[in-house]
Amino acid sequence: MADDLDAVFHALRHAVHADPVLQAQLFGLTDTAEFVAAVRRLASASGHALQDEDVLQAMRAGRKAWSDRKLP
Amino acid sequence: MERDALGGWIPLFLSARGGQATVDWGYMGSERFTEPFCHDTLQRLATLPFNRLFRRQSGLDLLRRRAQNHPGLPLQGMVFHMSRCGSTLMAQRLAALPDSVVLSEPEPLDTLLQWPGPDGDAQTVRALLAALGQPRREGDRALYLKTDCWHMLHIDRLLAAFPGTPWIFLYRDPVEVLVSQQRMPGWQLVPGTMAGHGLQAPREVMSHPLGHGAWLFAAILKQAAHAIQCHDNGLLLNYSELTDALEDRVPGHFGIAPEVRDSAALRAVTAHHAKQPHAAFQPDAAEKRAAADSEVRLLAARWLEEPYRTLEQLRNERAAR
Repeated sequence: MADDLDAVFHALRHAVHADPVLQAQLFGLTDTAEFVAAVRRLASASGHALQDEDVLQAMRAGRKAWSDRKLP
Repeated sequence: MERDALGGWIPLFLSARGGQATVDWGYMGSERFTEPFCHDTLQRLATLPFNRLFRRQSGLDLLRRRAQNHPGLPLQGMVFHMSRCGSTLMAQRLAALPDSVVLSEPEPLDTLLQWPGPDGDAQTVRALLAALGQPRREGDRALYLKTDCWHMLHIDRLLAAFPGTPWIFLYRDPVEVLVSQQRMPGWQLVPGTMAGHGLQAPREVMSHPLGHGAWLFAAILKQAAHAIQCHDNGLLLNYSELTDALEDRVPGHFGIAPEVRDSAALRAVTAHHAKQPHAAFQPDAAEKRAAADSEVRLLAARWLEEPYRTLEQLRNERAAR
């Protein structure tokens, strides 16, 4: 399951990193609930079903990477 | 022309886990560095939903390659300082210019300067500032860098990366600096924090934060005295002359065109405390000297009196020319 989610987020990141318009649109969503909903719609459009918690967990990992950036 | 795949992206932080230098890019779009310190802007960006989920990683090669086609704004000036001496006010003043981007103590640069060898060489420093120093609005023409105070110890490398760039070293009566640090200790007071920059503190200050600060500030003052004698385009500036210097000598030194020097926005910046925007800026030298206790006076005498006197002598000699 985790591998499946990793693959989904990998595909999502690939799509977003290749699309400047999408980057700007998603960046503008500063409300977490709106952002999560937009990511779920994006995943759904490419045939992947994500739950809110899937997205939130990936976001927490991203936040942790920032917090831990100075650790050796 | 090839599309810039990293348009709107900046290096949020650098890391070297497992010996592999990595750049973590975050999206900034057309936002500007408006907070007094880069860290505040980067922290805000890093915690936005988009950058929590969609940051991207690369090696330093991509950073260097991108700089070839996207060199960023020309670096117009560098501000080095002793800490607690008005450098943030100077940075805010430069940031209020209508055509400037100011990088104030950017953390990715601090990381890079701690890396030995090619990962932290002049080319990579240039590439990093190119990525951080892209124009952020129509009309941006110039980049300014205000370093962390201990980066004075890296001035040779920074000037190797940007030869001939005008630079300023801003400093202040050491007693006043130590009083400020005593009230609100900075990161540089933590013993051992400078090891990554190649500075090993003597044992006598390793359990004495304010002493560690005094030792570090002495090293910074000595380096400034050395640098002003061996690098061109330097300007020594004492806090006591800052207010007037912001009006003429600083813009003159950095080649800022007269038509952009005088504006209401610039004057508004100078009227406020740089780190507490709601408080009015008040010169506070006399108050700080009066507040100095015996610890501060002993540390100033032990570490800082002599290098400060040397620097003042150099400043006065140059002013008399």
